[in-house]
Amino acid sequence: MASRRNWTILVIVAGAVMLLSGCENANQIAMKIGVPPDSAVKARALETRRFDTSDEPSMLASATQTLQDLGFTISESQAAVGVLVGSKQRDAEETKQVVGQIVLTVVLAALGTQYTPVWDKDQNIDAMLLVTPIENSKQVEVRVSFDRQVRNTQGQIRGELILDETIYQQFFEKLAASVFLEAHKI
Amino acid sequence: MISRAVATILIVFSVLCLAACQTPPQTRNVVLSTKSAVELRAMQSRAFETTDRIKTLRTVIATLQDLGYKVDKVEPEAGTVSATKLAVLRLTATVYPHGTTQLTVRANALVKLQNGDSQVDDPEFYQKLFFEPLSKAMFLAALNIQDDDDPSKSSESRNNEQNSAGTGNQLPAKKN
Repeated sequence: MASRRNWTILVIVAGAVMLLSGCENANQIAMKIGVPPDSAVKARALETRRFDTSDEPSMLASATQTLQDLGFTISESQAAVGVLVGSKQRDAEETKQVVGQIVLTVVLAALGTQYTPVWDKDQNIDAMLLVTPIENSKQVEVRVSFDRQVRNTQGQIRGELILDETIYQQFFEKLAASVFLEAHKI
Repeated sequence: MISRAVATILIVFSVLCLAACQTPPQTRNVVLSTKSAVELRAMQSRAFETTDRIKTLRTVIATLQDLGYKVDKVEPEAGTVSATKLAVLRLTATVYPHGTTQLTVRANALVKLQNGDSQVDDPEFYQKLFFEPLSKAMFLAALNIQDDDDPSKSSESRNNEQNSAGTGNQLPAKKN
């Protein structure tokens, strides 16, 4: 009798261990998320520009204004190391996705299955900008990277790097225009 | 005797009442590594042959940006930087002197999970996903320093830079 009880306990413990090992631990998550993006080289080209100035502080000031023009709130700014960080919150609802989910819910309901529609609700866009003086030249390198965290109607968050060429193109056009104007002001 | 018992009950009751008013703890629980401090320090730190703290900090930040992190906080005086990747992986790096000719970079990573944060204690993570890219960046930065000593080399590299600026999709700002 007693041995049978021990068996039951053993099976329960083994089951629990198997269930637990199914979950990823912190190290596995870190190894998965920490890997450099596949498109690291492409991203670097996309995100980096050089400017013919050695005036790093005014470059940072112009970049701050450009980010503010784009609706970002500055959360961190350290001129000593050329860092600028900002974020903004935006709506992430897309008609196509919402309609698709509602149609799916209706169809599944007609088939007798309950389904909760899920779509992207809002997003937080982060911008990080780094100004680096280039050794032995009168140039500075400006690298900006955007990423976003999208929250769906269930409150789940997924993060992704933004690698859309037009976004970076537009940012640098604005920044170049801003530097140009300021150069005139003096 | 009875009054003492009553007093005890009253005290216990009032303590229970007070405990009910207590708000639940606001801080997220952090699961720290069970590995020893020595082991953690070994996997989390590397020494570099330089004494320029700001420049090293800049290289650390540039490496983090390259890896897809977003900086949350930088403190140049203290030589620290905290960054997060995709709202899940948080890494703090510190740059501090090691002897008179070296600097130590120490990194500590946390994974933000739903039920709390968990410290990363896998040596492979620190080596492959932080120190290897950082070493490459530090090496490139060191090469740039050497350029100062050799004027012919520096003018050559400058020309190369200008050439690459012309052919790439770079957008030189106009300067009057």
